[in-house]
This record gives sequence, C-alpha cells and structure tokens, in this order.
Amino acid sequence: MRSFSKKFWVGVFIVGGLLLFTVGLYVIGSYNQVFGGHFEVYTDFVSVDTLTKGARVRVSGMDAGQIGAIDVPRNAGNKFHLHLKVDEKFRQLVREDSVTTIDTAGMVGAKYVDIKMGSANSPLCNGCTLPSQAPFDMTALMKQGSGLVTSVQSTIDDVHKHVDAAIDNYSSIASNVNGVIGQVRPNVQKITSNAAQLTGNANAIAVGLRHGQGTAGKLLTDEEMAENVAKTIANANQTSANAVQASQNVDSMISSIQQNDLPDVHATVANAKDMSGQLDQAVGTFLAAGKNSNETTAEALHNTIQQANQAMGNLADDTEAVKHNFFLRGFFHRRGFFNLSDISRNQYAGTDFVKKPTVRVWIPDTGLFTMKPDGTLELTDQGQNIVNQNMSDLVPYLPHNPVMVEGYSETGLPDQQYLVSRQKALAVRTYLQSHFHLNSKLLGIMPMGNHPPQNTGKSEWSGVSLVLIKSR
Amino acid sequence: MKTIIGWVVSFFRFAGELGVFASRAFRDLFRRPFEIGETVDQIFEAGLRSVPLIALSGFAFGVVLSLQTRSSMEQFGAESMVPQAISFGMFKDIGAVITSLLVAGRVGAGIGAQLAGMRVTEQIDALEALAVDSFKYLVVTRITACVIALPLLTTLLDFSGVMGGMISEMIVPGGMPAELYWRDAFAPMGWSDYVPSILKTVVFGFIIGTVSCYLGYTATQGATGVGRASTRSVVYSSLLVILSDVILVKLIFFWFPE
Amino acid sequence: MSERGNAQPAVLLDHVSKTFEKRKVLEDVSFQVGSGEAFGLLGRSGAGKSVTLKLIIGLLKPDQGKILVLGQEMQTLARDKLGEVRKKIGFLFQDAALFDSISVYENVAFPLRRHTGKSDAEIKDIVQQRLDDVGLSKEGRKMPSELSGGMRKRAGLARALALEPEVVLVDEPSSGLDHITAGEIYDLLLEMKQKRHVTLIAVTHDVAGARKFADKFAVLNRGRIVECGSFQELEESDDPVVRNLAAGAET
Ligand SMILES: Nc1ncnc2c1ncn2[C@@H]1O[C@H](COP(=O)(O)OP(=O)(O)OP(=O)(O)O)[C@@H](O)[C@H]1O
Ligand SMILES: [Mg+2]
Repeated sequence: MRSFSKKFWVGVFIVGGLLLFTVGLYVIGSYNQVFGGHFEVYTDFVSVDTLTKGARVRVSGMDAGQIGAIDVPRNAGNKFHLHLKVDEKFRQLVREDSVTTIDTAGMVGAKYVDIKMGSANSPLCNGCTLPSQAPFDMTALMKQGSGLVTSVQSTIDDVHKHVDAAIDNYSSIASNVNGVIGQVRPNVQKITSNAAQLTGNANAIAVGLRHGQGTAGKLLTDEEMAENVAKTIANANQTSANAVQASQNVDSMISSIQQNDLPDVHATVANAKDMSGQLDQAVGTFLAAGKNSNETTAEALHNTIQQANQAMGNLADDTEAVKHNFFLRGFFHRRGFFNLSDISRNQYAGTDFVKKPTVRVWIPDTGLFTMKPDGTLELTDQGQNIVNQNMSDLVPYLPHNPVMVEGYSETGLPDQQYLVSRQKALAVRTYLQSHFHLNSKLLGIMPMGNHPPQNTGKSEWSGVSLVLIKSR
Repeated sequence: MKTIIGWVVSFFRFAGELGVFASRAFRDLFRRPFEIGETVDQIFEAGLRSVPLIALSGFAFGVVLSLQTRSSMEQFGAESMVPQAISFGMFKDIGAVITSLLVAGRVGAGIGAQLAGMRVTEQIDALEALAVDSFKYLVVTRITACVIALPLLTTLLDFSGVMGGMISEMIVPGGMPAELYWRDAFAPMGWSDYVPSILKTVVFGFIIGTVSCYLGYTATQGATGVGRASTRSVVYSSLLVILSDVILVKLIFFWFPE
Repeated sequence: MSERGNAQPAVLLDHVSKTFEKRKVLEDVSFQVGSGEAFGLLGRSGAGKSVTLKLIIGLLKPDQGKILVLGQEMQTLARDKLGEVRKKIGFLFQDAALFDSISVYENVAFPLRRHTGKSDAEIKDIVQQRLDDVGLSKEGRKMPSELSGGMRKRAGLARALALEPEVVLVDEPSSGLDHITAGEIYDLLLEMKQKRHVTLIAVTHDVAGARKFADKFAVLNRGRIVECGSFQELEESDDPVVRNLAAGAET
C-alpha cells in the first residue's frame, strides 16, 4: 500500500527541512560569533538611543560583532553598561583609548556601536571599559541647520539689496563709466544665481523633511523627531533671522558640527555679514565721492562685488553641504578638505599638494605680470597665454579637483617676498577663476616666498606653480 | 435578537466540542498504536505535495517585499536596510502566518473534504466495523502530519523568500550583490528571531489539523456537508491561526524579550 | 437447529430501544440468534433494520436494553476489547462503504494487513480467494468508483468475509443484483453457514431468496418486532403486514 518511494520522499522532505533549519541556525550563529572566537569589551552610555541586544558593533566602520548585553543602570545618574562582543581578529585595533560612538546606518537605518581604532602606543583593551562619545543628535543639527539657512538667506537678501542699491546709485551718478558697470553686471547675476541656489537648497531641506513626516515618516524610528523637524522648518520659514542671530546660531552649531566634519560655516556666514557691511561702506564712499567719481572708486566697487560673489559661492557650497549632510552623511568626508584659502603654510606642507601632487607645473614670471595703478599685479595678455598653455596638463582633471596656486618671489626681505608672492598667486587665481570658471572653493592660493617645497628638487623660484590633486 | 443569541450559543458549543476533540487528539498523539504508515502517507500529502506551492509563494513574496521596501527605503538613503527588512519580514513576522494560511487553504480544505466524504459514505463506520480506531487512524495521523510538516514548510518559505529578495536585489538597478545581501539579511538576526517563530508553527499545524479533522470527522448532511466542511476548515483554521499568532507573539516576546 | 438453541446465543438483543432526536426508531426489540444459526431480518423501508445491525456491532449505542455478541455486552466494552469482538464480526454496509482511495484488492486486504501477521504472498492468496467467491476475480485492480453498484456490494462482502468471521451481519446482500448473481451470493452464505458454522444475520427484502439459507425470520415494523419464527410461522401470522411480506416470496 505504501510504496517505497513514498517513504523515501517523506524522508527526503523531513531531512531536507531539518537540514535547511540547521543551515539557518548555523548562518545566524556564525554571524553572531556563537562559534568563532571573540572577546568582550565594555562601554557606558547615558542614552542607548534605541540600541538593543544583538545590534551590530563595528570597529572603524567594519562589521566586527554585536552587543552581547545591555545592563540597565541601577540608579538615576548612572549610565547604561554595554557588553560588546568583538571578533578576535580586531583585538589589535581595540585599545584602551578607542572611543565608542552610537551611529546610524543610513539616515533611518539601524543603530550600531562604532569603536574607533585606538592608537598604537595605548595598551590593548582586555575587558576594559572604553570611553564613549554621546550620540550625535540629528534633531539638534537639523534645527540649527535650518536656522542657519534662514539666516543665510536674509544675509544674502541684504547683500543683494546693497549691491542693487550700489549699482543703481552708481549708474545714476556715473553714467559715463559704462565699462565698469559692464564688469559688475555678471557678478551681480552670479550673486543672484547663488542666492537662488541657496533658496533652492533651503527648500530642498524643507521638502525633504516634510516628506519625512508623511508616508515615509512611518519608517522614522522616532516619530517625535519627524514632528520636531517639521516644526523647525515651519518656524524657520517664518523667522527672518538677522545676521547677528546667524552667527550666534552658527557658534552653537560649530561645536556639534565640527566632530561630524561639517565645514566651518561660521567663517563664511561672518564673511557674508562683513560683506554687506563693506558694501555699505563702499556705497557710502562711492556716494561721497559723488560726481568726482574716478576709476579708483569704480574699481573698489568692482572688487567688493567680486569678493561678495566669492563669499556667496562659498556660502552656496556650504549650504549644499548642509543639505547633503542631512541626507547623505559624509559629503565632506568624501571631499576630504575644506576651504583652500584657509590653510596656513604649515598645514599646507602636510597636504597632498606638497606630498603627492597629481600635477605640478612651474611657470617663471618673465613677462607674466604687469603692475596696476594701485600697485597690485595683473596678468598680461602674454601672461594669460602662458598660463593657458601650462593649464593644459591640469585641464583633464577639472573642474572637480582642487587646484592650488603657489606664488614665489625672490626679491627683497622675507615680508616683501611673502606679499609679492601672494600678489602673484592672487593675480593668477583671479584669472583662472574667471577664465576657467573654477569653483572658488576648489581654487586656493599659497604665498611661498622663495621656498619651493623640498621634494620638488628646486631650491628657489620666482613666478608661480600650479598644483592639482585628485580628491578621493 | 434571537439569532444573535443563537450564534453565541452555537459559537460556544463549537468551541467546546472543538476543545474536547483537540484534547482527545492530543492525548491520542502519545498512545499506542501509532499509525506510522498512515502518518507517512499524510506527511506526503500535507508536506511534500505542498513544497512547490510553498517554495513558489515564498519566492514571489520575497521579490515583492524587496521591490516594495526598496522603493520606500530609497527615499531615506536606507537601501542597506532592504535585506534586513526582508529577512525579518520573512523569518520573524509573517513567514509563519503565510505558510499556515497557505497550508490551511491547501491541506485544511483537503482534510475537511476527505473526512467529511468518508463520514457521509460510512467509510469511517466501516473502519470501526473492521476494528480500526478511526480517530487514531484518520485524525491523529493527519494532525501529526500537519504538526511535522508546518515548521519544515515554514523554513522553506522563509528561505525561499530571502532567496527571492536576493535575486530581485541582484537584478534591479541599484540593487546589491548577493554576498552583501546575504550578510545584511542574516547578520542582524539572532536565534531568538529565528527559532521561536518557526517552532510556533507546530501550534499552527496542530490548529489546522485539528480544526479540519474536527469539521470533516463530525460532518453530516451528505454532499452539502462535504462542501461545507471543506470551506469551513479553511475559514476556521485560518482565523484561529491568526488569533493564536497574536497570543503566541506575546508569549514569545515574554520569553525572549527582544 | 433447535439443539443449538440451548447453547449460548451468538447474538442477543434484550429489550433494546433506540431514539434519534426524539424519533423512536426501535422500541423494545428483543430477539436472539443462536451460534451457527442464519437469521433473516425483514421489514419495510425505514423500519429500522440497518439501525439494528449497527447496534449489534456497536456503531450505535442503544438508549435502553442490552446487546450481547459472542457473550460480550457491546455497549460497555472498552475500546480494545470491542476491537477484539469486532474482528470476529463481518459487516456488510447497505452502501458497501468501500474505502474509495484504495483499490478493490486493497479494500479486501485491509483487514488482513491490519489484524493478521500474514505475509504479502499469503494475503494475496486469501484476497484472490475472496474475490473469486463473489465473482470479482478480475476487478481487484479497479478503484471502487470504477465499479457498478452491484459489484461494489460484492466487493464489500468480500471485505467483510476476509477475516473469516464467526458472525456475519449483511445489510441487503442481494440489492442491486440480478437473480443469477444474487443466487450465487446466497449459495456462498449458505456454504459458509454449513461448512464453518457461521452465525448469519441478513437484512433482506428478498424473502424467497432468503429462504435458501435462513432458518428463522423476524419482521420489524415501525421499530417493533411484530413476528419472529420460521417462514411457515410468518405465512400463518395474524399480522397482515407479515403475511404480506411472506406472500411476496411466492411471486
Ligand atoms: N443517524 C441517524 N440519525 C437520525 N435518524 C436516523 C439515523 N439512522 C437512521 N435513522 C432513522 O431511523 C429510521 C430507520 O432507519 P433504517 O436505516 O434502519 O431503515 P431500514 O429499515 O434499514 O430501511 P431500508 O430498508 O430503506 O434500508 C429511519 O426513519 C431513519 O430516518
Ligand atoms: Mg437499511
């Protein structure tokens, strides 16, 4: 009645099912270090930020184990004690000075504990309790971020207004200096487009976050957070924070942001603020000069606007970064450097520009520069050609890789060398920026005096050197 | 009003009779003689013949789950959560219930109809007349088969689902490679996410087997009764599976609190 | 036959009543069938004949009265003892009640496989013998659904006789059969009775046919035994229904 094959297949079914079940047990067990060697270290947190037993532990970002247990504090004021089970192969990396943080995979991904690689001279952590850094509060960052955006917007409005006023006044008073106006116009347009980009960014943040409260908000682990963000944005849209508030906001932001590798926005916002002040002044001076306006005042206005434009560019970049930081953390991680103009010579010596430049070209200064009436330098037509020729090596890597313009001067005392080399670098940068439409953030100047870096094989130089590195 | 009272009364009568039936089945599960051969037949029917259905459904389910979670996770840059969402979805949450519902539909209906048919054509009486304990021979064997088959089928469905998700992830633009998927699917899981939710289907198997056998074994009213036993087997055992899942999830959470 | 009547009866019903949901189906039924005796149970449709047979084998339980089979009181027996008695009883259902998921051969082999330790070869011989007896030697491989009503009835009889029971209860063995085949079945029953001294209770409408093997008859009407005795006694009964039934045999 019961054929052999029926019994056989039922046997296959049962054994196969059990085997599959065992495979599951084994796979899960091996990921949980049930079978392999592991060691245990500890760390304490005030808040566990939804971490649970079994959550991942990473060592410098690499999957390394899981949380074995979480001891709840006995008393208020004590911390949660986490048992971290770490794979044996990471033993050499976990030192007593390794810092633990609670991190998130993706924006709303699972929380995990990250153990930073320790320093080589610190002793190995054998069941020690690692120091911890309090979890990074996304809500706070968003709040500050949107405040910043609002301030920036109002600052830009300010600047824009001043520039408009300046140009209006200028054209009504000095209608004869058409050339200058011609030069100013594109800059103003750039400012406007930068401002538009800023507003766009602010809106993108707002939209993105409002979205977070809607359908997709169900996926947010913390409903309260979504609500907070929505409120914040609503407030931000109404608030017309002035520039002073902006820098205050930024001050508090800096401390939390810096650990998370956001750029130093403080400086740029302050710059922008200065800029509106300078514009005021410039317009004032200009108006005071009245009908006696000469080329110097026109030139001064031109310069101011150009600087304002550059500051706007930085601001646009920064807010772009703020926006990205909300959605894809690590925008600046990938860039690996911030504002090139902020680097000191010592810092500069440590960068890849000096250590391993991708392209470096040397341009001697014969026939390169001409002195303008105000004593500053400018590229000659021939100089522009020479620079163009030398840029051919760099062009394949543009526009996304950073370029440093090093200036060199052998004449005079060190302070004079410094000033002149800076002027040379500035003149070349001004040209590059307008001619090659390079992002101001990716174009730095470095006055080198008469000291080429040691690994270049040159002991002295007069002129400029263009250096490009490939960012990661 | 009268009909409502009638419903309530018949509900409790049903519950009571089912309870008595279930306890008899449970008791007889451990009493000789064990109808080994017949049990093998029933495992063949309930288990092996369900394999294609379960494997295909699981696979399709994994694909759908992957496509849906991906589209919503993408908005957050949380694509890396997709494998975990699938594996937890399959293993921890709904894999067990889906398997049980599929088995209730396929096997429960079959048992209900078959036993009811045997009842109304006096085949059950014939067994008794031939000195066979029809309860053990028909009921206990079928319940045993369901109890054995369901955890195995659930394991199969769960893994098919994860496989379906994996293949879908490998194909869709922006998906992830198999190795990474596999790791992300299983690394966040612990044994406590895996074992209890598969083992709990033993209970589901008992429910499906018992309810279907009860309705079939006690069927009356000829051919109409056969059809009714069949549909009722599906409806009642599905309902009871879902209800008991609510309770079991709480219990499991109580024993493995994370 | 009367000398056997003194021995303990194989089947005894003592003041048995049976009610289905307030409907009295049997009322105060008493009769006894001696060991080796053949007994015909007559009555109109719905009189309670099938119920009586099911009471005897214990598929139904009486509300009142008691039933003894081979000296055992059926309704009080524990499950395993009941099984032991049932192994000695062959039962043919009115609708045959073949197991429809297995072949005719397997239906007949079923009791042998379960209750005897016989080898497959021995079982094969016995099953073939039983199928030959009822004229189904070539239908063993068919499924029950492929048989005609009369063939099914004969297959059911083959199954009932598989274990060579001491007591045989048959519910209308000749229904759906032509005269020739019915005659063969009666011959088979008679042969069993004569060679193996089987106790036989047969429910039947075919009084003429039943006369071939039955020693004694009882007539059920509306749940009561209205007459019990030899065929002669039925013909001479006061009750018109009984006389009518007996007269049916003459035509
Ligand atoms: N399981 C049951 N539930 C309720 N009533 C029943 C049941 N079995 C039989 N009856 C009733 O008992 C009565 C006697 O039925 P039974 O089957 O014994 O008749 P019968 O004498 O065998 O008739 P026939 O010659 O037509 O087979 C019928 O009226 C029938 O309705
Ligand atoms: Mg009948």
